[in-house]
Amino acid sequence: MRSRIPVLLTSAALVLTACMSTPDGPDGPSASITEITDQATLDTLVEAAHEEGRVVWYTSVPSERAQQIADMFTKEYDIEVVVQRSGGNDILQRYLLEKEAKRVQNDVLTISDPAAFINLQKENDLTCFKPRNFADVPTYAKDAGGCWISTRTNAMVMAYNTEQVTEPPAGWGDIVNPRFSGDLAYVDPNFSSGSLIVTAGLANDLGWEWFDKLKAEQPFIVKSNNQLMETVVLGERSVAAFVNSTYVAEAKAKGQPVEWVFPEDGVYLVAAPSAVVSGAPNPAAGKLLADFLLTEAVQQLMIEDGNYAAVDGMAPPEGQPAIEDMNVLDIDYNKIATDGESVRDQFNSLIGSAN
Amino acid sequence: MNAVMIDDQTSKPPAERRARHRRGSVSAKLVLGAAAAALVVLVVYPLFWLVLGSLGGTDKFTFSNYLRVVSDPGLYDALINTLLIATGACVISLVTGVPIAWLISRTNIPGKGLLRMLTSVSFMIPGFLSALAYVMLMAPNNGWLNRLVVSVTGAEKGPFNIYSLPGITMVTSFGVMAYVVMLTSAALDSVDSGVEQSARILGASRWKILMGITLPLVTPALLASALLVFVQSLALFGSHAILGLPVQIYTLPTRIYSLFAFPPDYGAATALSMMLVLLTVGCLYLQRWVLARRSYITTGGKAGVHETHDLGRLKWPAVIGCHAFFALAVYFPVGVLLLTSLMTAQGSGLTLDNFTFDNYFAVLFESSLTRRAAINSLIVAGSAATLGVLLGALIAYINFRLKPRGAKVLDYLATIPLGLPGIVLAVGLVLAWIRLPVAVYGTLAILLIAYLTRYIPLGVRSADSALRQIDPSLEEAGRISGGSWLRSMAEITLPLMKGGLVAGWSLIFVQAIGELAVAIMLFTVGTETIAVAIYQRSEEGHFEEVAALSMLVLIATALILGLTRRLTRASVTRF
Repeated sequence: MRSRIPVLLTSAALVLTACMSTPDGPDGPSASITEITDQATLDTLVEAAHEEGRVVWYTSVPSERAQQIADMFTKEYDIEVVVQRSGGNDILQRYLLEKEAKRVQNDVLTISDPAAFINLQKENDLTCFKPRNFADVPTYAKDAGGCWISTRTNAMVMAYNTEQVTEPPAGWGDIVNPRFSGDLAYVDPNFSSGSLIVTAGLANDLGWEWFDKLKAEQPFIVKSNNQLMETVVLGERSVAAFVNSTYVAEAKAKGQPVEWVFPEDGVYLVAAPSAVVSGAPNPAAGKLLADFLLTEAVQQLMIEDGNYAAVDGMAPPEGQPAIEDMNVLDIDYNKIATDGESVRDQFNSLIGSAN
Repeated sequence: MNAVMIDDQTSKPPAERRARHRRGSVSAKLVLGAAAAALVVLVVYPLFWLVLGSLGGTDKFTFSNYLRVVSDPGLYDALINTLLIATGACVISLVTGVPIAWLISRTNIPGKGLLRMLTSVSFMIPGFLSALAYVMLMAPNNGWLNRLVVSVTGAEKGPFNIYSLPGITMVTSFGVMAYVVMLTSAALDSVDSGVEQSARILGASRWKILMGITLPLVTPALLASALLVFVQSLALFGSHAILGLPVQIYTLPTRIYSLFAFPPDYGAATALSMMLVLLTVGCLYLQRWVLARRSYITTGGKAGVHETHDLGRLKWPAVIGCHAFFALAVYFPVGVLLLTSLMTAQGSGLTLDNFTFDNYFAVLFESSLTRRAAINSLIVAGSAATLGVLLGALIAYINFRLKPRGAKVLDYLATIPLGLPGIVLAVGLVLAWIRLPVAVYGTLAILLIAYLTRYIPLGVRSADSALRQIDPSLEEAGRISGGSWLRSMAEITLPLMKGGLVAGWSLIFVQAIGELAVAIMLFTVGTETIAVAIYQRSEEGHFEEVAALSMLVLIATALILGLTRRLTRASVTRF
C-alpha cells in the first residue's frame, strides 16, 4: 500500500496538471509589443494593461521606496501594483518554484543580479521588451534585445565605523591587512548575489590569494547587506569589506557613525536589472511597469536613495563621486552566469573551513 | 507523552479487548480510515516528492546526489556539530527541566503558577527571536553583557561569545526544554505516590525515594521527552543559522538551507535532508524499543494521590535556582525585546531621548501588513491546531487502541515531520501541492496543509499521552450500554482526553504562530503570516519594530492560551 499510494497520487496530480495547464502566451495586441516606438503603441499597451487591472512586482527595492514607486504608477495609470519585497535570492527562489509549478504569480522581477537574468534568459523565462528610455542605458547594463535591463546601479564600497576606526582601509589591497584582524565583516556569496558578483570579480582581478589573506583576518560572514550595516553600525565588527553604497547612505542620513571608502584600486558597479517574466499573468501591465521604472521620476528616486541612475546623463547620488571620476572595474556577467557555482564552491572551501 | 502507570490487573486481557475493537462499526472504520488516509496524504505525498528529488527528479534516476553529499568533507563537520548541539540541548533540557518539573509537581515551592508560565513563555519565543536577542546580549564585541563586564572590570574583552557551539547549544535548548518540563510533570502527576509513601514508612530517605522510586517510574517519560528534544534540536534552524553561519559553524539544517539558496541545488539539498529523516526515524525506533520493554497500561480514571514534599530550608535556594535558569531562558531575551521595542534606535542606548512608543504605534496602526498578517496567523494557527488535535486523537486511537497491522507505520509517519527542517518540508510541500489544479498555492489553505503536516506529531503525541491514561473499559461501558462507536468516542473518549487535547492544541497553536521556515516559502501577497511580517521587517533592519511586534505576539499568544485553558477548564497539570 505504501508503494502504490504515491504513484496513484502522482499520476492523479499529473493528469490534473495536464488538464489544467493553459498556454503561456497571452492574447490581444499587447503581446506583440516588444518596444514602445510611438504614442499609439503606448496607448495600446496602456489599454491592455487597464484590462488586466493590476501588476505584481517582485522586487528587492526597500519596501517603503517600492511602495512609493507603486503608488506613483497607480496614480499615473490607475492600475494597482502589488509589491512583494524580499532579498534577491528569496525572490528568485520563489519565482523558480512558482514557475516549476506552472503558477507564475508575478509580472516583473527586479533584483541586483545581472548574471541571474542571463541564466533566466537562457531558460526562456523572460519576455523581451524595450522601454522608452532603453537607448539611454549603457550597453553593459542591459540585454541587447531588451530581455532584461538595468533600472539602477549600485556602487560596492567599503564602510567603517567612525567611532572605532581611525585609519580606514584605502582599497582592496589594503583591507586584507593584519591591522584589521577580527574587524572585518563580509557578505556571504552563498546568499547574496551582489556579493557573489564582487567575490567573482575579486577572484578574477586579485586572485584567490586575496581570499587566503582575508581568511587570515577572521572575517565575520553575514547574510545580507542589511545585516552587514547593522554589524558595523553597532560596532560588533568595525569594517565592511564591501557593501552596496545605498545602505551606507541611509545609515549616514540617520546620523549613524559610519563612513564609506571608494576603493582606490577600483570600484565594482553592479547593475540591478528588471525584466518582465514569461507567463506573466499581466504581461501588458508588466511591460508598462518596466517602462515606468526607467522614467526620470523613478530614476530620480533611485538617486535619492543613494543609487546611481541606470540611464546616462543623470547626476550621481549626493556625496558620491561621478562614475566618470571612478576607477571602475569591469565585471563579466556572462562568465559569472556560467561559473557562479564554482566561485561559491571555491569561496566555501577557502573561507568555510576557517574554524 | 508516555505516562508511567501501574498495570491494571482488573481489566480484560488486551487481546480480547482489541479483538472487539477491531470488529468496530462501519462509522468507526470510515472515520478512522479517513484519518489514516489523511495522514498518509499529508506526510507521504510531500515526502515522496523529496525522495524523488534526491533521486534525480522526474527525468532520470540516479544516486549521484547522495554520492555528492557523502563525498563532501564538510558534511562530517556539519554532522558532528549537529549531533553535538542536539546532545547538548538534550542534556541542558533534562538537567534543568526534570528538577523544575519535580519542583512544580511534587513540592511546596512558592510561585508554581509563575514557573509554569515561564515554561510556557520559553516555548512561545520563536528560535530566531531568542537568537537575535542573544546576539544583542552576548555578541563578543558589542553585546550588552560583554560591555557591562568590560566597563565594570576594565577587561579588554567581555567573556561571552554567543557565536560558538556552546552558545548555539544554549539558545537551542531554551526553545525545547519546555517539552521536558511538560512531559515530566504530566508523568509525575499521573504516578500514584502510594509506592513512595510505602517506602517512606519503611524508612527510606527522601533522596533514596526520589532516586530509587520516583525517577525510575518516570524514566520512560524522560526518555520520550529527551528524544523529542533531541529530534527537534536537530532540525531547529533559526538559532543554528543566526549564531553559526557568521563564524562558519555549519550544521545539517544550515547546509541544507544554503543548498536551497539561489541557484538551488535541489538534488543535494533533498539528499542531505534524507539524512535528517533517517536520524529522526532512528530516534523513534530507539524510543519504541525502549518503551516496548515495559507495559504502561493505566489505571481506570482515578487521579493519583500525591503528597507534597516540604522543601524546608531548601525552599529559597530552589526558587533562586529556577529563576536563575529562567533569567537566561526568558527574562533576558524578553527583556531585550521589551527594551528594544521602546527605543528609537537600538544602538543609542538606554536614554530618555531614545524612549518611544512609536514602534508599537507603527506596527499596530500604520501597517496594513501587520493587521492582515495577524488575522491570517490566527486563522491558520487556530484551524491547524484544531484539526491537528482531532486528527492526532484519531491516529493515536488507531495506534494505541486498535493496533491494526501497520499501525507502526502510521506512528513513524506521524513523527517524521519533526525531523524535517522547515525549509525541507516547505520544498516538499511546494512540489507536492502547487501542482494541483485546485488553487491551493497562494491561499491560506496551503499554509494550513503545511502546518497540519508539520505539527501532526505534536497532535498525535499529546493525544497518545492522554489516551494512555484512560482505561478502555470506560469506553466499552458506553458501547455495552448501547452507544455507537461514534457516540462513545464523542461523548466519552474525547471528553476524557480533553486535558491532553487542549495541551496539544496549545502546543500546535504556539508553534504555528511562530513558524517561519515554511511560511516564508509558501506565503504570497495577501497570505502573509505574523512570523513572515516579523522576518521581513527584521530583514530590512527595522529591529525596533520587530521587537514591538514580537512583544505583541507574545502577549496575544499568552492571552489566547490562558483563555483556552479557562474556557475548556482543562487539567491544570499541563501547559
